[in-house]
Amino acid sequence: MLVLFVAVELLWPQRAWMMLVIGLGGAWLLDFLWARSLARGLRLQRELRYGWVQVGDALEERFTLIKEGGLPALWVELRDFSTLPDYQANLATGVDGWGENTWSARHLCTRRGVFTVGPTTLRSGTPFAIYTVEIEYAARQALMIMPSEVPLPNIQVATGGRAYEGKRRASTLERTVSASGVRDYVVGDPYKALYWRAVAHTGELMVRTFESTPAGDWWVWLDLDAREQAGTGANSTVEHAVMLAASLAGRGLATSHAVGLVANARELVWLTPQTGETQRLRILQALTLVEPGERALGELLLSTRQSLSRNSSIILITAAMGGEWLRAVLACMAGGIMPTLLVLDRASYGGSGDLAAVIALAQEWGIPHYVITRDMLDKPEARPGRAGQWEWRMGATGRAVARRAPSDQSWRTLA
Amino acid sequence: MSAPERATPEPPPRWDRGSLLTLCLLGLSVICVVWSLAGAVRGLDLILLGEMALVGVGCGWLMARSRLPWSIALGLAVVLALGTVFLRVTGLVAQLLALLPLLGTSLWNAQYGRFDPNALTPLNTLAQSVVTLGARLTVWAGGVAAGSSAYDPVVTAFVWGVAVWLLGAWAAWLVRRNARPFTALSPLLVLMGAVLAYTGKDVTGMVLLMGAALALWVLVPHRARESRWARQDIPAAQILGTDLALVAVPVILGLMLLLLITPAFSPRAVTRWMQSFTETRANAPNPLTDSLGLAPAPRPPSVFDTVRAPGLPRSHLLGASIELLDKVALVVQPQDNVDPLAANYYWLGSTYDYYTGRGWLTTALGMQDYDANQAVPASVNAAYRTVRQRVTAASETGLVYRAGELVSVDRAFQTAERADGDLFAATVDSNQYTVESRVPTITPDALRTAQGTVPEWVLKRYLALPESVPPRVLALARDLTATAPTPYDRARAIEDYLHTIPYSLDLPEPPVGRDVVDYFLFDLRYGYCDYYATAMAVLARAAGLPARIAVGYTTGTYSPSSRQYIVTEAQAHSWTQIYFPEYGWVDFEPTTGRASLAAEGGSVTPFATPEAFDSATTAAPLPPSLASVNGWWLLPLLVLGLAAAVAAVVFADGWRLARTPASQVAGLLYPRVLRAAERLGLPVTPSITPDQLVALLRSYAPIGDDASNVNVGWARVVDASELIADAYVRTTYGGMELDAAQAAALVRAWRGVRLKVWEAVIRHNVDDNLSRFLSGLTERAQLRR
Repeated sequence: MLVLFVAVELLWPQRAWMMLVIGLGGAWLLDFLWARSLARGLRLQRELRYGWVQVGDALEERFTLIKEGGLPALWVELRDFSTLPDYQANLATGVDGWGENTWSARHLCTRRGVFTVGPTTLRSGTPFAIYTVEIEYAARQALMIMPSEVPLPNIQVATGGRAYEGKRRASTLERTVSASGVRDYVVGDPYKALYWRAVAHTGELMVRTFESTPAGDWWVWLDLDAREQAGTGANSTVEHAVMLAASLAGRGLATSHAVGLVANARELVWLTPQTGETQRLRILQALTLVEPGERALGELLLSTRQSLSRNSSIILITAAMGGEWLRAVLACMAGGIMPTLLVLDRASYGGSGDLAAVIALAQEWGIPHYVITRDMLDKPEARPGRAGQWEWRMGATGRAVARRAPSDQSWRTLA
Repeated sequence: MSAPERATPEPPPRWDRGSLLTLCLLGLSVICVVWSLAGAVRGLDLILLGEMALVGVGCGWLMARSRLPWSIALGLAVVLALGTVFLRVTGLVAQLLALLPLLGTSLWNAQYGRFDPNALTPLNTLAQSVVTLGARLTVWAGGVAAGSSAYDPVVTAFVWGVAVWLLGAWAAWLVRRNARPFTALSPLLVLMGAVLAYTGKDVTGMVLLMGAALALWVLVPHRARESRWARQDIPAAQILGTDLALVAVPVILGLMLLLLITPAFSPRAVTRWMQSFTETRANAPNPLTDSLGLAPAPRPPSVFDTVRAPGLPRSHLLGASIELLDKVALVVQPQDNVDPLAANYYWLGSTYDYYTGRGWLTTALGMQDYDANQAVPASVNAAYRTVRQRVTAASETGLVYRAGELVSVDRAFQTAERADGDLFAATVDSNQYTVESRVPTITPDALRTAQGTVPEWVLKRYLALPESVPPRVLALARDLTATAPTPYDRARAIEDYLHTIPYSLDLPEPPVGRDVVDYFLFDLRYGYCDYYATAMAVLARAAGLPARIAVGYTTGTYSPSSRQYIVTEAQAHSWTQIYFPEYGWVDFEPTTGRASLAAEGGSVTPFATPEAFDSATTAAPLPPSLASVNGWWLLPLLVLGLAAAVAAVVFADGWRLARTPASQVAGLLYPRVLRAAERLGLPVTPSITPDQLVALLRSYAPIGDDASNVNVGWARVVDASELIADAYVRTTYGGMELDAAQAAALVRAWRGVRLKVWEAVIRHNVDDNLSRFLSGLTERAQLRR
């Protein structure tokens, strides 16, 4: 259009054409210079405060938009291509010439998984919108968000082996002892262990436990059979089962149990019981990545029960309603393995099915069991995000070495 | 720059300040173009064009906000543009509004075999108007295609009106729908640039247009960005708009200033500027050279220097009251066989071509000497007869007075002519002479069917109007002549209008600086012949008719004994002449109280024979009737249009019903049943329940239905109403929700009886009104008794 007006002005010189040439030409020239200044002088800096975090933690990020050159960026649209769920870092702002604009974004991590922060695209434009400048920043950082550990309801894990046996286990790395006390009688307990005074007091069969009763290994069995799950997103049986597994593992490790993890996920997870913070990290990392699979729980139990050491406790976390897997559990019990069932109530997650049959069988066979409903677990996002936490790296010997303390508040630029 | 607010973004409201500002800038853009067009294009009315452009912007904006696809919107825009501009230019809005109920009544009566053709007279008029405009458009387009001048102010207003309407709609559509202000405003910029470059008129409007365009180029993309950010949930700093404005406003103002101070640049312009500079320097008085006794070279003679007309009045100014004297001015003895009492001669002395806003002047004159009885070349040769008059003038002005166009004088005479043989006046060195002249023998019908083209020099000289003529005078001319089919009818329309203004000789001096025609037509509203003649000439020129004023005397008093016309100074007169192809200048008499010279139903009396008068009387056309109008075809077209409108309403209603969610269908349909019951005159109270409503409808007997119709037609209405009422009760009070199938069944039921309901309502209303009318008549008849 401008070229046309210039040609017309030269061929048919009139003030009207000249005015059009000056008006359009002036606008174009101004926008051209402005666009060049934007392309050369606009920069973005992104900084993160954390390397890895757990669900429920707060992630903090700082953005700095810098404009070199005298012309301001009248509008800058920042498009963030991070894969973090619900992460909103997109923004439209501006920056003065020779100035910078800094702001921060705070995000509550609500989903476990491995995500990336970045890349980023900046779009800006000229006053008359003739030119649009787009600058891409490829810098990104991987971020592992592990499942959170929440305060658990009153779940008593049945002790492995026979109560009153009080013998040492050869398979444990170090001796652990249970606190002495009284517990409900379960099938398989020797009659001599019955604590008649308590029986008379409560009217229920009770057995006595002793200081010397060894604390068996905890096998956390996580049933991720996709056919047995209900609910979606953070309110699904999968996420709650993972959260439950992480929390139980944390509790077991904290009480000096050797804790292992088995999950019939898309990729079978098999972590043999060990103690210590390194095992906690392993379990959390494994739980971060698990996704529902196709393998049935009962089938896995039957095929692997020989690998489980006698006297260990298995904590089965499942949402399955069928009875087949209970038969597998029974077979394990016959081998001296003590199960504790944590059954997720699918109905409370919006699914179908009735737990009555499973509960009745568990009661009939004397298997300790707990029904977990959706609202029983503390929501990690309901807790305020922590300002920071320990960051670990795995040493060559398998030990965790602290890399960052919670008090370390330094910013790290995205690479 | 401030840190952005992280509040959740909300979609922009449908009508916010940004929308209003955008619309204002769009309006300003089109008004700038219209303003420049009105100043640059002859006869264009700023108000009319402004209205059309703004209506176009509004319609374009509304269409862009709707979901219409562009193809349908384009068709709709063209139809709306043609319709609105046609109605506005021809002033038919009120007529059309009056026509609609009349047409409805006539069609209703026709249903019962009581068709009254006279009821369609307004339709007749409308049809005539459409045909007239169509014919004028055809003539204009033919002229343009043939490469000749075909100026017609009504057609010009129509064409420019449609153009600015469409350009306004285009701009609004692209801004609102596509957020493309550059493409939106480019046609306006090109149009304005081309018009201003061609006419060389004031370019201030261009500066304003460019300012508005630049502002839109900033504002519209910004609003589009904000809207996108809102849609994509991208938080945006509130201050971005202010920052943008703080930068854009000074930049735009700077560019506008640059536009104002920058002249056109081209090698030719620079050369011209240099030449003007040096010429000015050479011609300017130079005190130093004067002091040294040096005189500049004499200026080469101009052609105007040679034009002089000694002894002739070259101006005819309009002033205050004149005193008409009884002194004899002329004694004219006709020497032909026409009945002197029937003849209505006007004794022409001179004509004026240049209107100044204050009065009349004649442009440059050339003198031509003729011998006795030497004939002046005739300007046209058709339909004339020659008359001879023996004239004795009382004054010594030497002007040759004659009836019609001068042929010869019986002694040597001199003519003063404008270019191209256009006669201003003739003088003779005697106050007694015999003059031979030609008077046209033309009937109005002949003038209506006059063919051919007006010479270029006539158009150039006799259509010119000064800038002082205000737009309202031009608008008046357009309004008066919009529906006149031929140039003759246009002239007559103006003449008839001026006949409604009272005549008076007692009037004040026109205010200094005012255009006298504007003053006469809109403020004074009375005057004498000079005012009437001037007003008619100016209005005719504004209507595209070449016109001038003629000055002389009216017929005077015929004395049968001496067979002479005695003409006194009191009979000094001005009238208007309008040029017609083939016939040349034809006299018109706009002064109130004087008979038209070219009366409808008669011949052009001063020039025609009595036989022609008689024949013209008998051949005069009857008032236009439906049967005689060429626009008969418009009746079915209008009926079709009405049918299409009804179909469109039905279709739109169906579309709305189809899009209504199932849960809201009952809530939508029940009020319709309620309204229908109200319109049927049923006692619907605000507290009526759905069951009571159905019972009311069941008890109603539609007017004009026989028993079988009641059973079949109305029963279906009642059934459907019951279904709708039941669904309404269940959804509103029972907390139930209709599923899609139930909603579809309700809609089907309503569609099935909708026409029956409308028919019942129309019948009821017509019957009601008719009853009231008849009872009123009866009461009046009783009162009279």
